[in-house]
Amino acid sequence: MKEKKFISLVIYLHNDGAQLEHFLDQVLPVCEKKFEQFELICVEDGCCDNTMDVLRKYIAQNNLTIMVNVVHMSFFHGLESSMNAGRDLAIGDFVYEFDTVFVDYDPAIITDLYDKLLEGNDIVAASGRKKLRLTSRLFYALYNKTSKDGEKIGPETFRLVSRRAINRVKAMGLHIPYRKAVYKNCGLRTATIGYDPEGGRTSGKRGVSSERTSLALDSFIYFTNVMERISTIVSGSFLLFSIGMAIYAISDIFNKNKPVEGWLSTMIFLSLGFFGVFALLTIILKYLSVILNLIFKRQQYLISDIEKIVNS
Amino acid sequence: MARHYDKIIIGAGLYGLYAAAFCARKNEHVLVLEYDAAPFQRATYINQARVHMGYHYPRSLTTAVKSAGYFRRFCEDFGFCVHDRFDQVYATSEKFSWTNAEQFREFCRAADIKCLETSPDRYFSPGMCDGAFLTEEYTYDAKILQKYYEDILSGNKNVDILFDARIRSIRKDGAAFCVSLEDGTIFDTSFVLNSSYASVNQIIDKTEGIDKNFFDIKYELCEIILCRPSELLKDTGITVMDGPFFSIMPFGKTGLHSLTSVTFTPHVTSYEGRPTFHCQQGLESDEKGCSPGALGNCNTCAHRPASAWPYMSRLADKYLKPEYAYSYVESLYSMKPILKSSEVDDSRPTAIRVMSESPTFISVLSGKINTVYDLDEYL
Repeated sequence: MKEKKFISLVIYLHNDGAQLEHFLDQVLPVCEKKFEQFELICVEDGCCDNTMDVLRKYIAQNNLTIMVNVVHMSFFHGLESSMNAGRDLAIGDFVYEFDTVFVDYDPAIITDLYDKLLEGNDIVAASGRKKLRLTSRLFYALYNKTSKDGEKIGPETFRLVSRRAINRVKAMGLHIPYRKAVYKNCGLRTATIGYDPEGGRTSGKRGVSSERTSLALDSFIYFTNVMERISTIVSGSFLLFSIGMAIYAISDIFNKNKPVEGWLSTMIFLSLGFFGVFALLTIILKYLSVILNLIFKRQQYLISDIEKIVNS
Repeated sequence: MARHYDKIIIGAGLYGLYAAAFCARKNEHVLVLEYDAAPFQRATYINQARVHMGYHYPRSLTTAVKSAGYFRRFCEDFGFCVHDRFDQVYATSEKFSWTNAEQFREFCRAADIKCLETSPDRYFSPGMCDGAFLTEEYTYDAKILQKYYEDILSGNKNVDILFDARIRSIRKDGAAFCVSLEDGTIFDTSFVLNSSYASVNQIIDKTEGIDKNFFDIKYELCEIILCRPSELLKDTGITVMDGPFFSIMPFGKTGLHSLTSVTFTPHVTSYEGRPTFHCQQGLESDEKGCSPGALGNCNTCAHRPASAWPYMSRLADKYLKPEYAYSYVESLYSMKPILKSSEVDDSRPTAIRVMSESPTFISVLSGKINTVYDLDEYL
C-alpha cells in the first residue's frame, strides 16, 4: 500500500551538476515506492554549471511522470533564502527539505523520517554522525548554550516538515533566516534520526565560507541573546568604571590630596559624561533588538522565474 | 458546380456563430464549417467561463480597459446565459506574485473597475495572501449560449452549418476562394473568416494563393476541473492571481465550480509551428484523429492525460480555509493557443489579421469571450 499523503521534495541546487543525477537515482525510486503522489521542486540558486542541463536530460531520459518545478532565484541568495522560496512553492502535506544533493546515507532513511513524523512529530531531521569541523562544533556549542528557548540544534542533512509546522511558522509572522532554529522555536514536536555516513565519501563542497560566517553571526543575533548580553556587559562595565572614577575623584576632595590643578573637575566631568553615554547605549541596544524583530517581516528573497519542466 | 456563399466561416465556436448571426442579419448568405459534430465543443465551452472585466491583466492596462469596455455590452446582449450572483474575490499572494495588493489597488483605480478591499483572513490561511478584493466579474454558461445560437440559426434561411466538415484546401481563384472538402464538396465565396482558435494556423496552412502568415503561438493542452462546491463556496469565486496560483469560480449556471491553476492546468506544451504532441501518436490515421495538421477534440480523446486533480486541489487547499471545500466531478480538456508575444506584460490581445483582401481572408485569435465585438468592423 502506498502512502496517500501528498509529498513535496524541495532540493537545493547550486552548481551541483556532478551530484544531481546520483541523488535523483537514489531518492526518486524510494519515493515512488513509498508515496502515491509527490512533486519535485528544484531551487536553482545562481547555478553557473550544467546543473539545469543534467536535470532536463534526466527528466527526458527517465520519462519522469512526476511534477517537476524549478524556482530560478534572481541571483545567488544562499541556502536559507533559496530553500524558503522552494518551501513556499511546495503544495505537499509534508515537505522534504534537502539542503544538499550529496547522498551519504541509505535512501531508506527517507521513509524512516516519514514514519517518525507520523508518530506525532511535526519536524523530523536526518543527521549524520560524523566528525564536524571545529568551527561548526564551536558554533553549535555556543548556540545551544545561549539559545533563548533551550532547544538544541545540530548538523542536519535533510528534514521532513509537516504542513502544520509550516503554517505555524507562517502564523508567527516571522521571516525565516535560519530554518533549523525557527522550526525548533515553533513549539511543535521535533525529532532527529541519526545515521552513520556511508563510505567516507565527502561532498568535496562546502558552503561559501563568508556566507556561513555571516549566517552564524545572524543566527546568534536572531535566536540567542549572546550579542545582547555581550553588549550589555561591555556597556555595563564601562558604566561601572566611570562611576568608580567619579567616586575616586570625589574621595580626593576629602583626603585633601592635592592633585594637579584642574584634574578634579576634569575627571568628574568626564566620568559623569561617560556615565550618560553608556547609560544611553544600553537603552539604544534594547531598541535595536526590537527594531530587529520588525525587519524580520520584509520580503526576503527575489525569484526570477518559476518553470515547470515537462517531459513532452 | 461549386455552391456559392457570401461568407464562409470556419469554426462553430462563439466567434464563428456570432459572426454568422451578425452577417445573417445583414441578409448575407453564410456557411459555417465545423470539424466536430456540434457547436461549442471545444474552447468556447472548455475554459474558465469568465466574462472578463479586466482584473486578469494587472500588468497590461490597455487589455484591462478594453475588457471592461466590452463587459457591459456582453452582459446586456447575453444576459440570459450570464451568472452574476456571486462574490468574485481576487487575491494577491504574499509570495511569488508579480503584483502585490498595493499595485492591484492602484491598477483597479487606473482601469476604473470595482475593487472593494476585504479581509484575506476570511478566505485564506494565515500568511498566504496579502490582499483580497471583492470585484465585479461574471461567468457565462456555454450550454445556454449554445442553445441560444442553435435556436436562432437553425431556422435561419441565410445560415447553413456543416458539421464534421473536413477541409482539404482553400484556394484563391481570381476574386474568390474555392473551399474544397475531403468528400469532394466545393464551395466558393469572396470572404473567409477563420475563427478556429487552436486550429487557426492549420487552416491558414490549407490556403493556396495567399501569404501564409502564421500566428506565432505555443500550444497548451489544458485541463479544467469541474467540482462541486460546499455551501459556503457556492456563491463565491476565488482567484489568486498573477503567478503560479489558482482559480476556483462558478462554471456558468451549472452549479459547479471550475478549478484551474496556472502551473497544473497546462499539461503539455508544444512550441512547434504546428502543434505536435506525444499523445497524437497512433491517432494520425483515425477518422476522428489528431495530428499536427489537424487537431482532434482533446476532451473526447482516448489519449487525454490523467487528471492533475491531486496537484490542483492541493494547491487550492494550501491557500483556502478548510470551510471552502469542494469535491471532484469531472475534467474537461482543450487545446489553448497562446500568442508568444503576450508573455511579459500578460496581455491577451485579440489578434485579427486580414490576410487577403478581395477576396477577403481574415483570421481571428482571441482567448476572451467578451471581445467578440472586435469582429464587427471586419464583417
